[in-house]
Amino acid sequence: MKLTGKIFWGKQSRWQLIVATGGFWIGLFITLLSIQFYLDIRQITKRSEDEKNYIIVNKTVNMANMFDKTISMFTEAQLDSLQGQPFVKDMGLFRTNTFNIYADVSEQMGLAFDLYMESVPTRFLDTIPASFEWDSTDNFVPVLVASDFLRIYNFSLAMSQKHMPQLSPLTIQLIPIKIKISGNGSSRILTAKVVGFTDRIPSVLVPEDFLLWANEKYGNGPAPQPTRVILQIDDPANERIKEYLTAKNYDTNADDLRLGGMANTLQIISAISGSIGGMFVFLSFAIFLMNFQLIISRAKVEIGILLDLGYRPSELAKTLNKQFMFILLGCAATVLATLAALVAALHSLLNSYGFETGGTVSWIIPMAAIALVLLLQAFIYLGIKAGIKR
Amino acid sequence: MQIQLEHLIPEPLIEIAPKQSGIWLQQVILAPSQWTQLVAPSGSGKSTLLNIIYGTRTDYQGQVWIDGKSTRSFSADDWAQLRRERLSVVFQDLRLFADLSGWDNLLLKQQLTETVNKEQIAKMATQLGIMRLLDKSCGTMSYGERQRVAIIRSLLQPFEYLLLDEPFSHLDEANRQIAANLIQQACTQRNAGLLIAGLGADKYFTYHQSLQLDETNG
Repeated sequence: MKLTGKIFWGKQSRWQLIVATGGFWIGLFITLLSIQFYLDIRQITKRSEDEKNYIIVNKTVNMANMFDKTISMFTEAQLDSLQGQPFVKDMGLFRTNTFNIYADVSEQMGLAFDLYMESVPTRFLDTIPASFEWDSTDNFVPVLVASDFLRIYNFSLAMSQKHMPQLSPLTIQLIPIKIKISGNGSSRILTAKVVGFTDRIPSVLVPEDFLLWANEKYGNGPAPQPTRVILQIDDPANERIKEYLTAKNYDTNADDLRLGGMANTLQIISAISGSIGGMFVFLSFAIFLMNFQLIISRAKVEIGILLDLGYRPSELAKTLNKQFMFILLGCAATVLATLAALVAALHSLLNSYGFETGGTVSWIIPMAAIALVLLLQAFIYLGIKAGIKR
Repeated sequence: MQIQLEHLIPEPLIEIAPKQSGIWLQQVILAPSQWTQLVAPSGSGKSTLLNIIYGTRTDYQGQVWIDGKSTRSFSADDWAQLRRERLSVVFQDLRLFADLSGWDNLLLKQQLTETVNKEQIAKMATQLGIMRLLDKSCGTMSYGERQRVAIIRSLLQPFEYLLLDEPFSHLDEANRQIAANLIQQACTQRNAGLLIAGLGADKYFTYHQSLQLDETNG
């Protein structure tokens, strides 16, 4: 079948092939790049969208709270009312320690302090490290710390105190913290370690089952009603949330609720980039198929002679198809390689502007490339079959 | 293989075909292994006839039957099969690839069935005096040289019928005789039928029948 290939390609103008292939290459490149951009932007917006769907609610602190802390607590009726609101998809209670906690890192940092701990149900956490598990037979307690706390420590506390070093997120996770929990007439020494950081909840979090166990065993009196709840809401732009919270004199950590519904600029941008990508897909297909039609019709006479000699149309179609497949796959492979390099470069650029992207090409990209090549190949095969039939 | 023409008439000839043609609108039987001479002046449609039998033209009325099957019912694959193994042809316009060498043109046919090996091809080419030319592209050969390539190509496959359209038009007398001998040998070997279209009667073959395409002029 080598000779048939020679006949077919010998008829083609070199320039036309280069232009057709180059056109397809650029089209595929821009298409895949748009998809990658779309995914990256969606990743960024989705993360911030997700965050907006979680709000933490507490009562407003005023003068009265100074004398009676129970005013800050939610009553069962208030919690039921909150949970019953149509905009609340899920509600989680903050639990806090009723025992004493004394943390000691004097060996490492010359520091010892009183500590508090809170917990929320695991489903409300934005990061759940594998080690965030408590084992009742072990003396180890995993701790999640708000990223803001680390920032405050590093940029405020450590800067002002000569003997305190600045700590990277990785270093801090290596430091074992000796904690002593006491109350209810007994005490225990445990080792705690920071296992991760959360952007969602400004607190020091431990597994809920640990807190329940420790409150039971070492707590000074019954557990109080929660003072904070975390809500998963349907839509941060929903005006009724703001109205309800204001009416009940509740406060929230969500900026967007305070500011009202903000336009989702990034989402609009990503929609635009998506539709531009779609247009490029269409254009590059059209250009390639048009060029391809020309290539086939140029070899029409030759294909006719081969059929006269007794070559089967299916045989010829298969040979030509294989050769086009070779071109298309070659294009796809080089496009993917270029894209990977470009994305890595863009990643560092975007990161310098504070956007976190994966830095690698999404697995969707090679899949999309294969899908596009297969789709185009199907068109080509049909085109060849139609072109060969006389 | 029996080829039967039933009331056949090419569409362009419907208005102008003479009433007394030996082929058009007649019942014609080309029996298996029969050698037929087709005498026809140019323009009377002999190339059209060969193209219709070979399946490369379909603009006709009437029927062509091959072994009792209407060729209109043949699929592209049926034609491919027929052209590989049962029916061979030398067209008047030869249909060679001008960009390919003589050898490549021959190998394109040879590799389909490998009925004839390369030594046998070389022997035929030597007999016809074109062995030295086979490395040249067909586009640079003279018409007579190309005609010899096309004749050799038609003999590189099994066939039950061989269709020849003015195969010797550009050959000198000596080469005509050699080509006729090769064709005769190949047909006898295969016990094949032969249909040669020419402008007038020739002396190279012993025919079972002679048909006039256009009797008013013939």
